Amino acid sequence: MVDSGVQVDPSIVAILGLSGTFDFFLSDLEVNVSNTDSYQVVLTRDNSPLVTLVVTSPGGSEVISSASDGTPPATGGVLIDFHVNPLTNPPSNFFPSIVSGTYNHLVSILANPGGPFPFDGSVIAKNDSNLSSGRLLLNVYLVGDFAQNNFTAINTALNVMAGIYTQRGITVTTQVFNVPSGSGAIPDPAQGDTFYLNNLSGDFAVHVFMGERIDAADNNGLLLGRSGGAPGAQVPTIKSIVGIDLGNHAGANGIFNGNEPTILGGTVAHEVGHFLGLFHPVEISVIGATLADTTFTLGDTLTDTQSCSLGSQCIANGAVNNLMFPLSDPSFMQQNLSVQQGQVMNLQPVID
Amino acid sequence: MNLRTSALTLLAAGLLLSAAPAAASSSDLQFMLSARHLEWNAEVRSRLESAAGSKQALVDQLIEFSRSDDVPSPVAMRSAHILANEYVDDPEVGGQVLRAMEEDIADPNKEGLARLYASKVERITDRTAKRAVAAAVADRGAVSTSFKPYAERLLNSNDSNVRSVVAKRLN
Repeated sequence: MVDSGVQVDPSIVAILGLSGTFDFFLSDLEVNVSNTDSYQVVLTRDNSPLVTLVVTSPGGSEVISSASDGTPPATGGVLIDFHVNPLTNPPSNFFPSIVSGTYNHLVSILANPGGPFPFDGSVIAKNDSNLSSGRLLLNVYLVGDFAQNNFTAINTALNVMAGIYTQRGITVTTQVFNVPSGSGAIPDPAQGDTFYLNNLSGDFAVHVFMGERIDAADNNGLLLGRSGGAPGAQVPTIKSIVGIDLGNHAGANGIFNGNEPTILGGTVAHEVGHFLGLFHPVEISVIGATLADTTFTLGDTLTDTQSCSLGSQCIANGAVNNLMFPLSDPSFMQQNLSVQQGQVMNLQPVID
Repeated sequence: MNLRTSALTLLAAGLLLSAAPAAASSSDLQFMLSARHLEWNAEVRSRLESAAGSKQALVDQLIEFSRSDDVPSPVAMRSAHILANEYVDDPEVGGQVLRAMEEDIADPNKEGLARLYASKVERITDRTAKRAVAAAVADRGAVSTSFKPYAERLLNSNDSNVRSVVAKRLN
């Protein structure tokens, strides 16, 4: 049974609105594509957990699956999320290239059984076979006086971020917007908020909100930054953003100085990396007394990001220098991006 | 409908904490506060206290970090967050933490800490500590133009005692 279908045929990038009603908590969504190198499906439904369980190719092969994709998976689209479920196909070059035809997305809306389940969303398709370079529009929103008064340091940080992305052929163009705010605090990007949706520009861009604080109930102020998804939804939703906590970067004196703008730039680059589909190359397993003693488990599914099971190995093989390493340590550069990481980012429709 | 039974994978992001070392130096604690995505829960708190050697030793170290120019700013500010979130209400170490917070709120060179602590007033449960931090915030707001907006926000506190003490000292 087909519950909804769309037809996509982009010249460069095409965005199609999507809406319909699933009549069961497990439903098939058909995506018909041609002239497409990658596409992202974004499903949204207020206050509902959403997940894409399986993506099947036009030939009937299972190409992405929550059951077989590992932990962490190649895409956050196969993880249960609330409100928004973005999935980019292919997640990386290790997945089959897109062919013309109908892809089937088996989607679950985890709500009360019985339905019907109305939903909204979009399909964004990209026709750009060059995965070695691209252009990224970065819209930066300075929320409140603190952010706006620290524009010089933020500009330095954005240049650091742009320099990191340049190594993988991604040219970053930045636009800055001021957003009034009484407290300068921004909501938790992982939970999403209409504050974001109401302030997003209409540009096809990665949207980075910077506030003095991020109010995240689960973290009590400890966040440095957080992406609304991995990858993030590349059409406007309540979670289509990256949030950055400026206060935690400005230090005890509340003034950006020394290496603080550089550290901030690393955080922006890391979180935007998540938004563009990157995971940590390794995940912390058991944190030890020192980096050398800390143990790690496998992270991303890429083959050219260094892996390590013990911190001493991470230092020796250079894994610690990767932008997406899960520990932030200014004594290491932590600005490296591998070729395959660049490809993952370039697969996202938001990079043309 | 193409129904399949698929395991739903949940990403367990965060620190899995076990096998605590007997004690750790300040650099070790600094490292532990450097995770890109530092999750917080009772287990993390226990782990940090174990690594420091005791609750008292951890509080001493966090106060030092929060005031230090020699640790990365995220480590300093995370230390301050943890002090205000976890220890200012603690019967054993709360007095020491409160004194440190009052000193830093008053310190003209620590406006970042003062702003952070001002944002924590509402979550402090110990009434004496809450009133004392609110008073310190108001006192700074009364003499600092840049800080005054942070103090004025407390005029809208849900706690009438906070509103009262701030209004009295700010005006």
